[in-house]
Amino acid sequence: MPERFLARAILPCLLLALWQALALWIDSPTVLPGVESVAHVLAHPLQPILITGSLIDNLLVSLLRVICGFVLAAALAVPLGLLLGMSPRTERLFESLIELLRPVPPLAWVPLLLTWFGLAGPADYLPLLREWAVLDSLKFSMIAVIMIGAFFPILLNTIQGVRNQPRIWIESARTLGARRTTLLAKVILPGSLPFLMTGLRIGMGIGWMCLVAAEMLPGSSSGLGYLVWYAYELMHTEIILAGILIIGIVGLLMDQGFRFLEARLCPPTTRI
Amino acid sequence: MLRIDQVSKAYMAEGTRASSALRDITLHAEPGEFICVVGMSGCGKTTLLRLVAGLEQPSSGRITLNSELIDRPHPERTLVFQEYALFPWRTVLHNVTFGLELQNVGKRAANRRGIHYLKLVGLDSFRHQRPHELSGGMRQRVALARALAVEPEVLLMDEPFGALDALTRGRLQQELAELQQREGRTVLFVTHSIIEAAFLADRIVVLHPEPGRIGATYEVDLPCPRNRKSPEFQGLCERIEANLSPGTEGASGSNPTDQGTARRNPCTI
Repeated sequence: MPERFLARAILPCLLLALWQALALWIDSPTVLPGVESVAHVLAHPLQPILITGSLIDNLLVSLLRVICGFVLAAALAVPLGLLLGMSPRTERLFESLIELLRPVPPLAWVPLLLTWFGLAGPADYLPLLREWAVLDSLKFSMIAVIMIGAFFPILLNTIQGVRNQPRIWIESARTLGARRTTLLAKVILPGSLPFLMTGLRIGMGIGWMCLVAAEMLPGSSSGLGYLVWYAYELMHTEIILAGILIIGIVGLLMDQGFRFLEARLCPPTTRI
Repeated sequence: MLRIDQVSKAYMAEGTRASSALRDITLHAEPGEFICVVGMSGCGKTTLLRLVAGLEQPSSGRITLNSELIDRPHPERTLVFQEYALFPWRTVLHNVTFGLELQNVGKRAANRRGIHYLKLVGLDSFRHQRPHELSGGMRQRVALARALAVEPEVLLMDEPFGALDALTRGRLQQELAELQQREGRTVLFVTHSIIEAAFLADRIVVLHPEPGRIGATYEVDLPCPRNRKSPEFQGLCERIEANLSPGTEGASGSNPTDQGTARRNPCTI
C-alpha cells in the first residue's frame, strides 16, 4: 500500500517542483504564480476572496447546485431507464428523441435556460432561503444544466443494466412466484445495480464538469466556476490555479465516493 | 397429477416459416413420479419444460396440474436451470428463502425453512457465503434447495448437472436420488445423458427431434440405489441409446399421420 501511494505521488510532486522552478524563472505572478501563493489561497479557505465570498462559500454553492441537479436527474433517469429497459416497445417510442438530444452539449442549453429562468432560483419562491447566501445562490438555470448533463449517462446505463441481466434471473424469480412489482424490486433493480452505480458515478462527474463551465458563462454570480472566471478578469492567476485544484479534488473525491459505494453494494460477480 | 395433453409448440422466427419445436406431446405424471426426458440437443426437451413451468404457452393442446390449466409460472412448479440462475447479490441462505419472501412467510420461519433445505443439500454451513464463492456443484445444490424451499408440487430440472464435471455430476445424481426418496415430489428432469436418466428415473421418455415428439417410453423398475455397472442397467442404457434418434419410420416424423409409430415400442424392464 505505501509503495502504491508513493508511485501515485511521484508525478504530482515532480510537477510541483517543475512548476516552482518555472515560476521562479519566469518571475511574473500573473503568468505563473509560485506554489506558495496558491498554497496561501488554499490555506485560507474562509477568507473572502475578491468580492465573491470565500473559497468555501463558492465551493458550497457549487456543491449544493450539483447535488440538487444530480438528485433530480437521478430521480427522473432511473425510473425511466428501468421502464425503457424492461419494455423494448416503450424504448422504441423514446429512442429517436433520446438519440436526438443526447449529443447536444449540456452547455448549449444555457442560453435557452437563462432565457426561461433568468436568474430566478428557489429563493424567489421560498423567501426563507434568502437568509443563507448559499441557498440564495441556487439558480434554476444552473441546476437544470447539471440535470441535463447527468441525465443521459444515468439513463443509458440504467437501460443497459436492465438489458444485460441474464434472462435466467428473471425466469427463476418468476417460477418462484415473483410478479411485476416484486420482480422489479427484488431482481431487476438489484441485478442492474452495478450498471446503475456506474451511471450515477459518470453522471455526477459530467454534472460537475457542466456546472463549473456553466458558472463561467454570463448570468452567473457565484460558484467555483465563477470564482475562477472572475479571478481571470482581475488577473489573479493564483486564485485561478487554486480554483482549478479545488475543482479537480472535489471531482476526484466524488468519483472515489461512488467507487467505494459501488464496491460495497455490488458483490464482485455482479460488477461489470 | 400433471397432464400434458397433445401439446404442440411452434416458433415464429422472423422472416422464416414457422418451425415447430414440439408436436403432439402427451405425457401424464403421477404424483411422486420421477420422469426423465432424454433426447439429443434441439429435440425440444427444454421447450417442454418451459411450457410446464408456464414460461411459455403451447401453440395447441393443454397442460394441467390437478385439473387446473397452466398458463403462467407459479411456485407450485419450480425450475432448476443448468447454471447461473442464483442471484449473485444474495447470500446462499437468502437465495434459498427468495421464494418464501414472496409468499410473505415471516423472516424467522423463512430462514428456518431455508436452513432446513440447505441441510438437505449439505450446505448449511455455507449459508452466509455468496454464490460466486461456491463451486459449480455447490451452486447447483443451492439452486435445488431454492426450488425445493417453496415446496412445489412439481420440480422441473433442465439439465441441472450438465455443466458440471463427471465426478461432481455423479455425486449430485446420487444425492438427488436419495433426496427424492425422502421428498417424493413429482419431478420432470431433462437431460441428454442416458446414464443420468437411467440412474434417476421411474420412467424415461425419449424425445425425437424435428419436430420434438415422443419416440419411446421406458418404465424403469431397477431397485434403488441403482448400480451403474450392473448388466441390467447397462442393457437398459443400450436399448435407450438405440432408440435415441428416429429410425427410418421416425425420420418421416414431420408427417402428422406418423404419430402412431412415434410412440411405438414402449419397453419395460
